[in-house]
Amino acid sequence: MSRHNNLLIEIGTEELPPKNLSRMMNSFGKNFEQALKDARLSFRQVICYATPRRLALEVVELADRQPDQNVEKRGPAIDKAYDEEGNPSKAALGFMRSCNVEDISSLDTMETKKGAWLVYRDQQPGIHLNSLIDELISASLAKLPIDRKMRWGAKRAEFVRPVHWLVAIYGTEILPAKAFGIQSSNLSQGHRFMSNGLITIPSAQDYTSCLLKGKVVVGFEARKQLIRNQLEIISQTNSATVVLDEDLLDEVTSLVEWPVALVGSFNSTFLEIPEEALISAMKSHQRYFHMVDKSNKLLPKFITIANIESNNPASVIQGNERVIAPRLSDAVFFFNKDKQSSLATNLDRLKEIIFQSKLGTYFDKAQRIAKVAGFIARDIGANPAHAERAGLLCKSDLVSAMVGEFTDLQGLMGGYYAEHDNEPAEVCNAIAEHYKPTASGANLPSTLTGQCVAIADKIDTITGLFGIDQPPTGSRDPYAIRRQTLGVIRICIENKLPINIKTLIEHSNSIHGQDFQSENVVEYFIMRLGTWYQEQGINQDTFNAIRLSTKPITNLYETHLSVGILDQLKSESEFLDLIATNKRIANILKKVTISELSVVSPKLFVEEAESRLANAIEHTRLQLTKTADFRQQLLVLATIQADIEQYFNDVMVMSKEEKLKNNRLATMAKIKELFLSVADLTVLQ
Amino acid sequence: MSCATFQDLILTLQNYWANQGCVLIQPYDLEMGAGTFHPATFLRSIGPENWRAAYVQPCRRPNDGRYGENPNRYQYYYQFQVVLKPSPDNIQDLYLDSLRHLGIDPLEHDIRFVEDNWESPTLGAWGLGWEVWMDGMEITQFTYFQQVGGLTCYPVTGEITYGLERLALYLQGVEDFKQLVWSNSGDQIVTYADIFHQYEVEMSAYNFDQANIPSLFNQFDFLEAETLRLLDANLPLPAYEFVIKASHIFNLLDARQAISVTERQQYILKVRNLSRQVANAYLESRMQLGLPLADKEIKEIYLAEVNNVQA
Repeated sequence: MSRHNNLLIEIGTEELPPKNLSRMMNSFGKNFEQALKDARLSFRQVICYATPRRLALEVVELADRQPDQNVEKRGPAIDKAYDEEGNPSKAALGFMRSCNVEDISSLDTMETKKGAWLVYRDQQPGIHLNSLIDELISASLAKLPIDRKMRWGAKRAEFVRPVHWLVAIYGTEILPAKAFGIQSSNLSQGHRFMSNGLITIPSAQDYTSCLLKGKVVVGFEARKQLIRNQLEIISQTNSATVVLDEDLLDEVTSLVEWPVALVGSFNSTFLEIPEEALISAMKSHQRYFHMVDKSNKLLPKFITIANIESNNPASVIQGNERVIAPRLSDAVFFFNKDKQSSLATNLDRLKEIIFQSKLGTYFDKAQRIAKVAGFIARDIGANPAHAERAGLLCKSDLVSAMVGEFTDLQGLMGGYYAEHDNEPAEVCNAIAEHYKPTASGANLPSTLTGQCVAIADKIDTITGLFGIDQPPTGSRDPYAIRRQTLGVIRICIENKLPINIKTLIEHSNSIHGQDFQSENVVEYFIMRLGTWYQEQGINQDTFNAIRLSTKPITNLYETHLSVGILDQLKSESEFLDLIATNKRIANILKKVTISELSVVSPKLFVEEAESRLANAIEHTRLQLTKTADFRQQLLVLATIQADIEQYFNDVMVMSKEEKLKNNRLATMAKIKELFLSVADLTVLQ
Repeated sequence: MSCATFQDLILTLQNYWANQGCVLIQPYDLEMGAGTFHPATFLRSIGPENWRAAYVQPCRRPNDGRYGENPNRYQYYYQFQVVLKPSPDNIQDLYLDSLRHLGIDPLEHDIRFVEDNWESPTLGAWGLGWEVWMDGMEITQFTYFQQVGGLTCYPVTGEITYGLERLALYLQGVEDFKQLVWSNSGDQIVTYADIFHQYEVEMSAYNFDQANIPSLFNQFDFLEAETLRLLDANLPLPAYEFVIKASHIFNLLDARQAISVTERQQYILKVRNLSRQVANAYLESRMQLGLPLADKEIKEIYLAEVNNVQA
C-alpha cells in the first residue's frame, strides 16, 4: 500500500526574468501535475510558488509509489498450445519466452465465447517516488516557457538563469533528487540581504512559514496582495489614487521577495510636458507607480516597490529621486527637440522607415491611410478633409525622439505635436487615438474622425499582409492582424458605423494598386466576427444561421443587430416550430441534388394544400422584398408556417409517382431558398 | 565612506578584484563605445581559455552627448570592467562584496538584479543577465556571455561593468557629474567638471555639429577594407583594432544623423561581419598556439564540440 505525504520542490536560482515569472511558475506546476499523472502517482493538488530567486511547488498528499499494476498478455489458443504429446507447442514456447516464464503451468487459461486462450497474468509492483523524482523534475522543467536558455561557468546545464540549490522534501524526509548536477537537500536560502545563512525546512508544510522568517514571501499572489494593500494605504494617506497597472503590478511582484512601497517626489515643473511621457518614463524605466488627484491629474510623486526593509528608507527614496529627475529631464529634452519640426515636415523622414518590404515605407503607408480614411469619412458622414489630414500625419511621430525612447507613446505624442503645429483639434484627436483599441477590450477611438483613421490604418495593414500572402498563422502574427481585425470589427459595431466591409476592403486593395484579392480578407473578417461572438458567449449557431444565409455579410453593424434579434427570437415557441419545419425540409432534401429539381409546375398539384403553399411562397417572397428589416423579415417568414404544416398533413412528398415526387421536392427547395435568403434556421439548436 | 573621491573608487575596485585573481589590465588606447570592445573582454571570451581581468575603460558614445548639461549623461565616461572566465558560482556574491568594499550597505540600499539581456549587433554577441539597481539607479551591467563574434561561449565569461560616475554620485552624495570630486589632496580639490566639462561641451559640438561627414564615410570604407586585408594577412589582433575604429566611426556618423534608418542596418551588418571574421581568425590563432590558458578537461570538451559542429 502507498502512503501519502506532501512533497516540496524548490529550485533556487539567480534572479529570474520578471516579465515571465508567473507564467513560468504556472507552467512548472502544470507540467509537474502532468508528469505525476503520466507516472501514475496520485495526489490531491499542486500549489505553485515563485520569487525572483526560486521556482517552487508543493504537491499535497502525494502517493509515495505507483499503484501495483495487473498485467495480462494473451498467448496462443489453448488448442494450439500443446503438441500431440501434451508438451508446449512451438507457439506456446515462444510466448513463454516473451513473458519470461519457464513453466507452462504458471500461465492461466482465459475462456471467451470464441474459445480458450493461454494467458500470462502477473502483478507488477508500482515504482517508488524515489526512483521517479529526477524524471518528474526534469520533464517539468524541460517545457517551461523560456525564450532563451543560458549556460554558466564551465557547466553544460542550460536554464533560464544559473541554478544554485535544490530542495526536495517528502513529508519530513529529504527526497534524494538531482537536477542541473545539484544534489537535493532541505536547505533553502532566504532574502539576499535580510536573512542570514541557510534555512532548514523541516517539512513540506513548513515551507512558506520558514521562508517568511527568512524575509521571503514565496506566494506570488500573496506578494501581489501585499503590494496592493500598501498602495491602497498610500492612496489614502495622500488623498489620491495610485493608478494600478496590472502588468506593472505583475512585473514588480516578480522583482521582489519582500515588497516595501516607498513614496518619492519630483519637481512639479516637469508637469508642463504631457503626463503620458512622464508616466511612461516612470513606468518603463523605473517600474514606478504614479498617483493622480481627484480630478485625475498626475501628482509629482512616484511609488517604488523596494525589495528591502531598509535601515534608512529616506536614503532609498532620495536615491530614487535622484534617478528620476534626469529621466524626466531627458523627456523634456526630447519633447522640446521634437517641437522644432512639424509633423508635416517629418513626413519626408518616414521615407526611410520600411513598413514592410513589399508594402513600402511608412511614407507610402501614410499616403494610403489618408486616402482610405477620406473614403470612410465620406461613407459615414464624417469630415473627409480632417480624416485625410489626420491619416497623412498619423505616422509622423514615429521619427520623433520621444517615440524613439518611449514606443508606447506613438500616436499620443503625434496628437500633442499636431496640437503644437496648430492642426485642427479633430485632426489632433484622431492622430492621438488612431492606434486604438490597443488590446482586446481596450478603449475605442472616441471621435468619428479618429474612427476613420483607426479603421483605415488597420485595414491597410490587413489587406496588405493578405495581399502579399502573409496572413496570420497559429504561431506567427507579427503585424497583429488578428488584433487589428477585431479592432475594426469592434469600431464598426460598437459605434454603429454603416460601413460596407467588402467595399472597404476592395477600396483599400485598389489603393495598394497591386492586384490584391479581396475575397479571402472578407472571409477572414467573417471568421474573426464568429470568434468574437464565441468570446462574448453568444452561441455560434445564431451567428452561423446568419452567416450561412444567401445574403452576404457586408455591414458588420447590421449583421450584429441581426444576430441579436435572432438570438432573442430563436427561443420563442413559434420560432421553434419554424426551426423544426426547416430542419424537416432540409432532411427531405438531403438525399436530393438540387440540380435534379425542375421548376414547380402547378399542373402537377393534386392536393389543395399544394396550390395554397405555392401561393404563400410567392406572397412571402413579395413581402420580403418590401422590408429590409431583419426582424420584419423573420416575422414574414413565420407567416408561412401554417401553410407548410397543412401541406405536410395533406401531402405525401415522397410520392410513388416520380413526377409528383419531383414536383413536390421542387416545392421544398423553393421554401428552403426562401428561408435562406434571410437565415439558415436549420443550424439553430 | 571609504570612497570620498573618484580615484579612490577606482583604486578600491582595482584592489578588490586584484585580490580575486584578476589581471589589472590598463585602458585600451582606442575609442570604443564600451569596455566590452577591449580585447581583454571581446577576444578573451572566445574559446576555452581561462581569463580573469579588471580594468578601467573610457567609453565614447557620441549620441549621449548633452553639452555637459544633463546631470548624468555624458558622451565620454568611465566604465570599470571585470571579466571572469569561467564565471564562478559565487560571482554575484563577489560583486556584492565589492559594493561593501566601496562602503555601500546592502541593508540600507535597495539593491536588485533586474533582467537586462545584452546584445551587441556589431559584435555579433549576446548574453543574459541583469542591470544592477541601487535605489532605482543602474550602477552595473552584469552579463553571462553566450555568444561572441557569432561563436558560442564555452566556458561562459561573466562580465561585470560598473558605471563609475553613477556609482560615484552615490558615494559622494551629489546630484551631478560636475560636482564629483576626482581627487582631494587635502589642500586641493579637483572636480570632474574641472577635468571634463569643457571637453564634454566641445566634444558634443564636434559629435553633433562638426564631425566631417564625407571624410568619416571614407574612413569607414578604408577601415573596413583594411580589416579584411589584415585578416587575409593572418593578423587577427591588428585586424580587430580596425574593427574597433570602424565601430566608432559608425557611431559618429550616427550621431551626425548622416546614416538613414535603412542604411543603418547595412552598416551594423558590415561591422558584425568583420567582428565575426576576426573572432574566427583569433580562435584559429589560439588553437594553433595550443590554447595555453585552457584547463585540459575543458579544452577537450571544447574541441570535441568544435569538431562536432564542423562535422
